[in-house]
Amino acid sequence: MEKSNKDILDNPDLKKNPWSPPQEYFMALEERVHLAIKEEEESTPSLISRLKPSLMLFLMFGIIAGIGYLSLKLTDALHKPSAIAEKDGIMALIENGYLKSSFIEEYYDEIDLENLYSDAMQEITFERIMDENLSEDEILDYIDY
Amino acid sequence: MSIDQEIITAYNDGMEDYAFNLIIRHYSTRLYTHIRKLVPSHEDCDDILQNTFIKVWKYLPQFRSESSLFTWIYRIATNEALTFLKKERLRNIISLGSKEAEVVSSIESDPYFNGNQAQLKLHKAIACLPPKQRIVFSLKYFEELKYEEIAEITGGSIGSLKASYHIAYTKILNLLEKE
Repeated sequence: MEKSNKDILDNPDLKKNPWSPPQEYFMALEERVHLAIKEEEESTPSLISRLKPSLMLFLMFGIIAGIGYLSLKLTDALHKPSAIAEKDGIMALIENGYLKSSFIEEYYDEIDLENLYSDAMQEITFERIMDENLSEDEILDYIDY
Repeated sequence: MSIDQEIITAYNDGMEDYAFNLIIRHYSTRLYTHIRKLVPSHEDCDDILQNTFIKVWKYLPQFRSESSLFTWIYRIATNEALTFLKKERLRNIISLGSKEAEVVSSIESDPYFNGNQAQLKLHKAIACLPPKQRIVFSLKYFEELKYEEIAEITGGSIGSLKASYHIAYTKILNLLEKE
């Protein structure tokens, strides 16, 4: 009667080690391990060579960031408002096209430009617009929607 | 005093070289046998064993007795063997070769294999297992370690190790049936 395969795996002889290393392998092993450790300790890389990959990576990121900044600068994406506009909010509105300069010129003497958008000035401005009987189109012409 | 305690005591007393030599003398045969079941050639086994002892020397100062010295050293050896097997697998994928056939044929022609026909069939079947199953099967079947010890060595959960062993055992039985 054939043994089942399960019985075969239960055979304790199967658990014995079938490999034998070369003769005197273990006798020489201790010395070889110490030699290998010594070689590894002597070949430990210097600080510079260990830092080199990180430095190169940092440099590459710097170059890429620089190229990105230059391309944004050249395409004027980093446009800063002019010095005048920075100081004068009204000029900034005109420069950015939110307010027509002709409106300012027309009503310069009557409108307090510093407080153009204060509630009181808005009311006065509105009254002036109504007094002048400006048409809707004329109003829109000044308020550059 | 057990040998592990003797090693740790010697190391803590400042006799690092003596302690390390004790480790090599006490564990080299057992580690060689363990690694040899996982890799196809004596030369590869020798490389892995040397790397294991180099790492033991390097990390011995950080050994904190949270696990036993035995499981700690076995963990290093097993990880080294696993790293080697993964590299071999990758190399095999790149070269489009059949690693399984190569390993099986290398066992048959290995000049250091002195087992009988039954052992040859068994080890050829084991060589067909994926690396992790091979490790779990080897530690459970040949070394007869408890699952708790295997978990400390491989890092897996006991449940997954039991499942892994069962799958490996069944695969080997099926392969032996085909022979």
